[in-house]
Amino acid sequence: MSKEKDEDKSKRLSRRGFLKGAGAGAAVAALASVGVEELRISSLPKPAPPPPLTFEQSVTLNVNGNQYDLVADNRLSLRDALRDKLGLAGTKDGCSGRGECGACTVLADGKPILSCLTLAVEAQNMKVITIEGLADQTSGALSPLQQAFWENDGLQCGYCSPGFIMLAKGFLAEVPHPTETQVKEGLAGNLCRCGALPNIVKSVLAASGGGS
Amino acid sequence: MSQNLSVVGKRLKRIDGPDLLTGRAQFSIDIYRPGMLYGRILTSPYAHAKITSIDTSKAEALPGVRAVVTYKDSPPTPWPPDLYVLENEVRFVGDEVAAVAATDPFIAEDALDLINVTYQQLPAVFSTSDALKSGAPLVHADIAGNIVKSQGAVISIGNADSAFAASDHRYEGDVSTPEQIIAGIGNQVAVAEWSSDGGLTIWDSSQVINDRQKEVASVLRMPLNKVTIISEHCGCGFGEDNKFRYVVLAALLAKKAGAPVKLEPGKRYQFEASMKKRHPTTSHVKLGISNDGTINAIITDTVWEKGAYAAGGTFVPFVGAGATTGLYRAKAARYSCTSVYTNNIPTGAFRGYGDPQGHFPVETMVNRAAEDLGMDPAEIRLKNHCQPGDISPGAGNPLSKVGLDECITKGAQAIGWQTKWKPFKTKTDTSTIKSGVGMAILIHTSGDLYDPTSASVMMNDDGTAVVATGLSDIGGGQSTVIAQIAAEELGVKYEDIRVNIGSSDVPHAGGEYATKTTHTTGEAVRRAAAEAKAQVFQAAATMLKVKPTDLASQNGLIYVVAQPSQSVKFSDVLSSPMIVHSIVGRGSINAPEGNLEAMAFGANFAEVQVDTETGDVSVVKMAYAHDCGRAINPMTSENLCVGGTIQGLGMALAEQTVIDQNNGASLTSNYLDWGLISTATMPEIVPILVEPIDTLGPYGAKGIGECPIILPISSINAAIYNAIGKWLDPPFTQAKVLRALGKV
Repeated sequence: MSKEKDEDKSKRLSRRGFLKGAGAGAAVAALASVGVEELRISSLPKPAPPPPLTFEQSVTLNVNGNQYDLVADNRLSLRDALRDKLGLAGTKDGCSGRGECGACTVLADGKPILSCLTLAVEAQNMKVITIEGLADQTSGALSPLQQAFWENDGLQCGYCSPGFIMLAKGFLAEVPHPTETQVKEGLAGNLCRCGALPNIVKSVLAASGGGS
Repeated sequence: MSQNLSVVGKRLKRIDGPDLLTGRAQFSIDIYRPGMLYGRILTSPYAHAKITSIDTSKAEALPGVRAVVTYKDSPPTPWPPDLYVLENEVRFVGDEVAAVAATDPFIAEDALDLINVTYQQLPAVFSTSDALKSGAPLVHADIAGNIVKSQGAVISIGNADSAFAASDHRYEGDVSTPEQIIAGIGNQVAVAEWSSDGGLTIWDSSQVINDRQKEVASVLRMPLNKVTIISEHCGCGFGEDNKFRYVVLAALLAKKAGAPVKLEPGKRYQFEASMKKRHPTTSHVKLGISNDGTINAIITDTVWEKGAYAAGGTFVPFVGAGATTGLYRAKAARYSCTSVYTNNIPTGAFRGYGDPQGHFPVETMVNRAAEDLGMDPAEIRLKNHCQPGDISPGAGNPLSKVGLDECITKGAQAIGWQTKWKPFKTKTDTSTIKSGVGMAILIHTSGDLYDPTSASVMMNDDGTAVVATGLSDIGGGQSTVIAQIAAEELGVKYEDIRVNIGSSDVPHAGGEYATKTTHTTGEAVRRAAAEAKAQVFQAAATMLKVKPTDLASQNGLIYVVAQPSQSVKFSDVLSSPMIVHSIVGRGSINAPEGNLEAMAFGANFAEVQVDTETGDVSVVKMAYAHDCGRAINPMTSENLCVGGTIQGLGMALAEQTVIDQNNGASLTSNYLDWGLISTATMPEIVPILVEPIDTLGPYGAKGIGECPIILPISSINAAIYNAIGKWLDPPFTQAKVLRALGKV
């Protein structure tokens, strides 16, 4: 057979394999070496039955160094798990879970993520840090980053502040001594309608030891 | 008043900073009540329709659904003139139709899909010109001609027509200003809970706690002592004087369900049904000016698009008169406003409250005259702006102080106006990137509108104090400012003050609007502090064997002015047997008092670059100089100046609301499509505080709040003309620039 025909065959075989589902992985591998004319449905192994439908499951989350066990709807976002189930309402909802505003930003293994676009079930193997995890747990003293926001008036209504602070924390871990331009671009994904933006930039620069 | 201030005028850190920066501060969305249900709202897909039937049986049968409300549950009393809690007619895409409460948000959203509504579509109008045509479909069947009569007026000073006709130079034109959505990041959420004695508590994101209490009580026909509104942290608070259905819907759901309900309509609602939208306008404007630059006549006729309901932002078109009737000393002026219904998102109160729309036509005409006559626009303003004693367009009293000279001079300095401005027609630059500068000035209320406001100050035994007033923190440092005023007046430290705000159960502050908080609520707080201090001084005077008038106080110490070493601590007086009652001082004000009236003033200067190949307008630098009388806290004041300017820049260059003209649906009801300035796109903005120290207000302070948003559309328009020789209307998009240059 020509080279082209072989390629066509392998494409058709792959699609058929995909449609049969993950349980038939072995069958796909077996089919790969079989020509299309030799394929017979009755000779294929029966796929495993699908697991029973559930809309919720047990979830274990690691947040601010603590372990939380809960039962969560599969659709529940990490943000709503934090707020509605774990009593950690510092992480906010600013755009109805469309990932547009960054008010729900938390750290997952040190990196800023949008918790409204992350499912609780997805977050199970992440070390999550929220705004509640920054201040000193015993004395209540503000972290240096929060202190910098306070001193530089990097807020107005304060609703976007937890998101900006978590974003800044993740950003500074990656870029510890940023220029002003780097700070402006690093924070550009979070929204502040009050327009406290220049002071937010100033606060992050101050926290990094830079700026005036 | 002592000139030696120790707390007022200082750049102190926000009193509520730690709570907000740790996420501990509670907005209404953060309230969780035992047994709480989750609520959602169903909205209309049609711009105008009658609801001929609504079947909620499937929704009610869904396991987990505890209550559904429709127009059949709506109280019969509307908010005047035209807003019922729910109706069997919808008038814009996004209008509220029904609400549900369920045990979790997913079930509530599923329940919305199970409500079966039969709509009979009706004809709709999407522009004021269509709405005003003879025979146009009526937005409200009982309102002829689609005109909101109660929101229209004519204000005349002298004979404007003849003053205009007699002027050496006459300028005339048509301009327009766009809608603008508040779209605050903070979500509007109401949590409603009934108590067994028939009382109702609502946690809301509200900046008008007492108005909200009265509105809910009036619609539900309840006495005020049974309705409590709580809103300590509002989140964004850029506009109230709107009537919000979601607040009452939460209460109705909670009643039906027999459980607390958190009604969260979602962000799309905030772009649409929440009335948090600025009126778009079209104006025909005339300016008559003499050879020597004296402004003789200003005539502005403005059509305001109201949208589908008139119940919010009811005074906006009247406030828009200020630039025509009171900003300048013109011999004659006339302002007319007409408000028109359309089947669009209803408009309401939004920071500036009519003044961005009212200033744009006037400032644009003055700038046109300046360019045409080759006169410095700043000089024309210096020559013509209102002076102390002139009648204020706010409450109609003579103006106290006017800081415009200093605003104009300092703003000009900040962008290098002297070296940068010259008339466009004298420019010879041939590069494709053109530079230009422009400026504008403003007058705006500082709350002197006869809006009563009260406060109390209670002193504890240890010399600390609690200030109580029905404010909500909306981010302007309101709690901080009143704490500084109370501390200064009492003579204690800033750290000694606790602020008790955010509830209708404390003395009524009248709400945060009209840029009134610092100037009027601040003064009520100062008076309350003064009265509390007087009570303590009575006892202290006895202890020190002097007269109360011999005493002063600072940093927690009460001392004899003539002999400061003779002193006693507040805590010693308050814990002594001389004082056996709680020290509570009361203060209130219905400003303006006496004959004078304070207004806020400002000047905005813009430098732009226009890329004549792409049409891109970028702001190189903007300066906003604000006359605030005295800045109680310069740090929060500067933050407000910058934040408000960024919002004004949004109106000029970034934010765009796009409505499908075929069916009235908004295509931009989310942040990504609509466009919000970020840290990467903000220009350099220089805030300048001008402090003439007014004769009114606490320590001579006036407000800032709304003002910075008012002028960017005007100054940038002038700067664009100065760069490319074309007058545009905002938003100043690339398409508009290229069309004006004949490139497309």
